[in-house]
Amino acid sequence: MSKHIRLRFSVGEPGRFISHLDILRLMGRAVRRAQLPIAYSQGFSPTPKLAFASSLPVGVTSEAEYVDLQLTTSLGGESVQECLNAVLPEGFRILASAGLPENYPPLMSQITTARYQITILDAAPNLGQTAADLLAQEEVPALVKRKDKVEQVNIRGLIDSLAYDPQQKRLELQCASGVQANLRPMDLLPLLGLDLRSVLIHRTDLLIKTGTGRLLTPFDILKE
Amino acid sequence: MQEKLLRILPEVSKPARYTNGELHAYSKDWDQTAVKMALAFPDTYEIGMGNLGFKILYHIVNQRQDALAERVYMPWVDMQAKMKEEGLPLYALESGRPLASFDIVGFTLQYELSFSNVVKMLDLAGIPRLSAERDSRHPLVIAGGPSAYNPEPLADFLDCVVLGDGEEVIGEVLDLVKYSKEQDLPRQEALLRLAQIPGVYVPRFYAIKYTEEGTIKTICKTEPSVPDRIEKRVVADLDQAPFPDKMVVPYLQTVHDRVMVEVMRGCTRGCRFCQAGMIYRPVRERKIGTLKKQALQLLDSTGYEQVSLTSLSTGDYSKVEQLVAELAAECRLRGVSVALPSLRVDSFSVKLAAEIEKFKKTGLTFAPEAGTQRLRDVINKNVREEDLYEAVDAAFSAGWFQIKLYFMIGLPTETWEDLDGIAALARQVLEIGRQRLPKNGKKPTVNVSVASFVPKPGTPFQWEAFNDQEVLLAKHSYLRKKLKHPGIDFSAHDVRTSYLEAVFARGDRRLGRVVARAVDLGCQFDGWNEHFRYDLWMQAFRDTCVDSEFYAYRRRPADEIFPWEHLSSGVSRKFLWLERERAYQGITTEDCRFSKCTGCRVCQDLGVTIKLQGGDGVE
Repeated sequence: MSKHIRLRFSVGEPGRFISHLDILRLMGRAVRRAQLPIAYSQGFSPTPKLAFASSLPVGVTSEAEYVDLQLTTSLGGESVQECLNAVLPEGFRILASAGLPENYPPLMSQITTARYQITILDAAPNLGQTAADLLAQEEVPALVKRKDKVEQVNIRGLIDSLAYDPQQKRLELQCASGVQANLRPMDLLPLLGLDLRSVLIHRTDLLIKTGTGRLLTPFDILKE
Repeated sequence: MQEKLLRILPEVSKPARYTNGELHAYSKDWDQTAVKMALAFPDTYEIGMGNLGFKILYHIVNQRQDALAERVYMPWVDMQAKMKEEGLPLYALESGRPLASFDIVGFTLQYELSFSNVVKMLDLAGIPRLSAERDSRHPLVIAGGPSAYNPEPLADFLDCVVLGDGEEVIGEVLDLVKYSKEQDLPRQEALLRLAQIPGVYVPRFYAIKYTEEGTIKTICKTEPSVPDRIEKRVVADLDQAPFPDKMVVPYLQTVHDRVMVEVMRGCTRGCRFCQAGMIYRPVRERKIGTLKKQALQLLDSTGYEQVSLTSLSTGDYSKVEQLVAELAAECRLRGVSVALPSLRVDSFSVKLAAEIEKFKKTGLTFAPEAGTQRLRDVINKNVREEDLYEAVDAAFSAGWFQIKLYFMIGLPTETWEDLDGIAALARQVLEIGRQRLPKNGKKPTVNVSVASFVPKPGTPFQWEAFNDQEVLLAKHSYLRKKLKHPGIDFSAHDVRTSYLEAVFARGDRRLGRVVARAVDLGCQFDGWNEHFRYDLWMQAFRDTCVDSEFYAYRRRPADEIFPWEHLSSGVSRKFLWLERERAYQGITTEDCRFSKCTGCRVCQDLGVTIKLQGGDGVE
């Protein structure tokens, strides 16, 4: 039982087509429909206290989105999960929950890393080789959109690993994600000869890199 | 289809406009449902989702066991291109089925600038444009909404048009479509039967003859069994009328993205330019208890953070103070707020607004409509200069610092002095702000926004001319100069879109081929600045040899037969003409809610009465 609850949720169809701001609003409304005793921010326009781990790029599905809720009375994580799942629209599902201690640091500042599966829908010959070649370079210039401006940036340092699984026709990507450094997986696509309509991108993990370099999920870190 | 769709969605802007699965969207069994209706909104998803009438009809149709309603909106141009590439026809959101597979496609006509989109949507759906080209294999294409009071420019494209409140008539139309499907009736036969339903207009059964000057000579019915004149339908008891207990909650932010309850229908203030004020008569209020119940139920089912009390003029609801106080108290407990979308120009309304907006006070909007008392008397906008000053005084004193003022230019009898009046009002409002607001705090600002007067059918000004475009532009620059002042902002509505609106508002069937040509040339989304192509519209008029100025600039003689002469909102032509005469004499007419019957004939001829919750409706 806790006043602070961490939830992991999935984003599927058609939820992947909405922006982070839309997800924020959607969760706020779900919490209200579930009649959970949510805490509100003070000030001119009170908003429910929901803190998200990361913004999910539009078009990407996920099984690893996280949000921390602040309640006015203590509840069990599982009952919060159940209440929300009863009222969430198609494409959103709470998968796991845990109570948090008071004054736990904001999740958004902790996340460093994400893992993606990029499923290839059309034929893409030599993708394994292309990926390996890309990793072998020190400079990987990519066009990246930042605040409505397109800039050329070296993204090599943002990529931890990239491998192609020809059986599954799937790229496995681990890369920087978070407020410090961030790579949008779609920015990688042109370098691999791919475009948005020829792939499905799915986020499998959001992770926190510890001082010793270990990667922990937002639930694992609570046990540290 | 679904797979193709999923491939193109990542490449278009705001893809959630085109997906299904929103909370409280219906998904009924297609094969088990007898009648399928697509509710079509000829504008974007975001605009269409804000329409309350659409929500009410969606609810009513889907409540029936034997019918289903799905929604479809106009895809944005990027999506249209992708759909064309993939060979996808326009589909309804809920089932993803092509529009052509529905029994009924029902368009709402909110204003004239969406006419091109109606035709474009038929094209995108692969449904033949013209009623004459369709038979019982095609959907029945119907329309309703405020612009249905003169649907003539679209007459050739529509199978039937419904006048007035849709709540009751929609059921009768569904019954008939179901019957004609069961009996396999030919389209002509089905339409003849539809024409028997009160409030349903079937354009093909009326022949129009024109004089040599181009005006209408006669409107004659071609089938003996259809009515000479179609009267609008009206819900006598709004309090008992069906209203949704849940509303679709969109994934992305839309216009009016909040709970809406309809406090009342109709307005009898009698502004002489206002079509809504004429066609929605009489005033019918819902009970406070009903409204509270509906609002709270909807807040629970949607999780919205705000409820809006909608109507043409909510400040005129007879028990508005009590309603706002009681609802605001309930809402505070739930952490939600109440919104009043339309404010009357007086200090009473400002106090109401202050009651619900305890914190976030930025802008308030008032619509004095005209700059001098003389002109306000002409248009019967019963607002005095003192009312405005008291209202803004109250607003500034309560902490608002941005005042937006709406005016109309090009009104009948307008002179330059009336424009000077606009400038004087704006300056005086700013001055009040400077006096009322603390010196070291936020500076007051006044935004003056002017629209061009467009004469609308069914109003006392239906005989008037639309002001010349050149003159309107000159008035803009005159006002811009006069209002060049720190703290005052000026903006003016595009004159060319208003011109087009003026042409079509009082247009006749001969404009149908202009719309068709314009769509062929690429016109669509005419209400959107970035898509409005005046040059292409003018080409469409030239190509079809139709003189647009004949429709916009001509002041009609007293006895002109209007294209909508056979369609009635219940307000008598005699009353409208009398009101026009009074306008030219500068005589105002009182609101029949608070004074004697003004003789518009709606109550007597349609067998309804004013219904106020204060209990003091004048008989």
